[in-house]
Amino acid sequence: MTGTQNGAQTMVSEFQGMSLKSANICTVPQRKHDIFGDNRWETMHERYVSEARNSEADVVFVGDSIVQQLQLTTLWNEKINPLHCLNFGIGGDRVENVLWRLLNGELEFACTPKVVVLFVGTNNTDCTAQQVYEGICHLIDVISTKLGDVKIVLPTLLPRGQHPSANRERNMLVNELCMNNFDSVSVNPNVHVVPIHEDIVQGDGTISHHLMHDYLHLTDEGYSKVFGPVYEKLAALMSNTI
Amino acid sequence: MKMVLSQRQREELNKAIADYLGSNGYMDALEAFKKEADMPGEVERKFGGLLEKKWTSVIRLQKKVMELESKLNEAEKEYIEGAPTRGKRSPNEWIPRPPEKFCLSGHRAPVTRVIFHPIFSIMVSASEDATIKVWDFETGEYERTLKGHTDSIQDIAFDSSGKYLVSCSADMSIKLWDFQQSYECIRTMLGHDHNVSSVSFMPAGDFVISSSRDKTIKMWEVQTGYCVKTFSGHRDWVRMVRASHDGTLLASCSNDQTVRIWMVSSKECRSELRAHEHVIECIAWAPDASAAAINEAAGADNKKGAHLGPFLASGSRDKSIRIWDVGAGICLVLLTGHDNWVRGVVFHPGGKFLVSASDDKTLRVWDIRNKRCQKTLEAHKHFCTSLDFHKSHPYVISGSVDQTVKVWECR
Repeated sequence: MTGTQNGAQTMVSEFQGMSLKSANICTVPQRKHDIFGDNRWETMHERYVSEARNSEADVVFVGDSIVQQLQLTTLWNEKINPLHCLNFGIGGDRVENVLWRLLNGELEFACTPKVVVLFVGTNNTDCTAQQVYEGICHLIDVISTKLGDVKIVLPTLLPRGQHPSANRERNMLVNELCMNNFDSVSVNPNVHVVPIHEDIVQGDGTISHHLMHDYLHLTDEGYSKVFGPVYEKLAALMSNTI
Repeated sequence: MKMVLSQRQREELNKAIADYLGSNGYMDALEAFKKEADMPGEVERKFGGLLEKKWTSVIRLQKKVMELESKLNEAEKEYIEGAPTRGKRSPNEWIPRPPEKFCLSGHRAPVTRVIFHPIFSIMVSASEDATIKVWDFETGEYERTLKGHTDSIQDIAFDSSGKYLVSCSADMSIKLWDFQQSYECIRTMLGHDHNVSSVSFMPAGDFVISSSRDKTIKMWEVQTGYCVKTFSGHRDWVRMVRASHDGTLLASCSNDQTVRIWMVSSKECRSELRAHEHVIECIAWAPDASAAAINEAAGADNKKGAHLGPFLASGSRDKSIRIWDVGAGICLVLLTGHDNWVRGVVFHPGGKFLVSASDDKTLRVWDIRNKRCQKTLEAHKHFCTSLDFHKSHPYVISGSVDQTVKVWECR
């Protein structure tokens, strides 16, 4: 346990060192390496590209497994999906993987959506908060450039691990950066940060498995509670845009 | 104490209690109980966990009873609220009522369109799974699948004799199917440059009309399969095209938020109907029988200046339904109530009602005269994409993204 933590720390410092000299890895588009040999990442990406071309969705979710699993939930079926949604989540995706996907067809819509929900970053466990934040900013630039006046909803990253850890801290630092830098409309009036990371960690610093069954992914009830504000934001944005 | 159990049941209960005490380690109580109940020796294995099983089954049954009671309530309400019995229903008044008569599954992707056969007791459904399925709506039996398209089927239609079925698809083709014997594709018509969103026969059955995401409407000769006319003017994806009953006009609706009326003879766009504030998904020409109700809804004095029509209904993503006087080019009626995109509209054959299908998962029956939603059916678990009303039999069918087709009986 301690060993891995130390390992992570050395890696972080290595990357910090790197970021001074070379580019931030979060802002360099990265195709995911197919370590399992069944090419699922690539085929999912291809499906999303074709869905983008053919669908007329109003809301597009982009991100990692937490986005992907959202579509298996009651909240999705009863509340979110009726807003006409697409879900481009892929488990394990890091900021740079999502960046690659967005630059390679997943934003080539025939009918431009009204809102993009961007939720990624928790898998960049070897990066600094600043790097992840810069990666997210870069993603926002890409989305705004490709889709023009589209609204971007940015739910904050969730805490992870049953007990406090460096990963949790980094995610919270990313959230602070996002909340502080996108709070004024002058930065980008189309970006809406939705804080959803609060009320997850209990008084004693632990996360309940009733909310996050593996201390990373949400349970069905967890989604209703944590992603409820995201739905509210979407509903509000949609009623203003029709 | 008066015992309601028989001797045998009492012994069974005692043994179940003994097993419960034993297996939970209440040994003193078990010994005392055995003594008092006069039950020497070991409790047989078949009583293992019996008490707990009964305990949980009571809760399960209670839940079931509650479910059934709420279903019964719904049925009673339906009955008491004045829905006529089957024997007393009349073709001009009957409307679809819950619960559904059949819920048919088989499609492996969202159902995009459902239509009745004009003669036989069958209906046909089209799906994003690229197949067409044929069902008997009176028995709920599945009959066959028509395969040939390679992408989402968007629309299907019969000619008035029911001998031919025409279908169109995102694969950019239109297919004509023999519906008398072979059920095979007898012609494929290519010419659209994009997804073909809608297809229909002209009333005489000699031509097929189609609309596409390529912004055009095309007319095809059934005999030869040649494209004989192209109607251009819409500025975006044309969602649906339907011919007027006399075959002189076409109505079309589009992502450009207009309904357009075209002269078939000259290919001229006669009028543009604007009022919807979002993509218009569907249109339906009103039957002659609707004229009186529409005029009343429009508040017209029937003696002078009555609206002559023809009339057309349109359903939009702005959640509203509008009824237009096509002759005058004005909107007469606005129906609001759906909470999401309206995906299908169909007039009641009797003319007094209009029924709609929506992404709010409901079907709604609208009383045209009073511009009021008379009935809402919680129809599907997901978006309702399409519906049809049988011209003479008391049935409505609906299709959904939940991949099912439902048959609703009217009373």
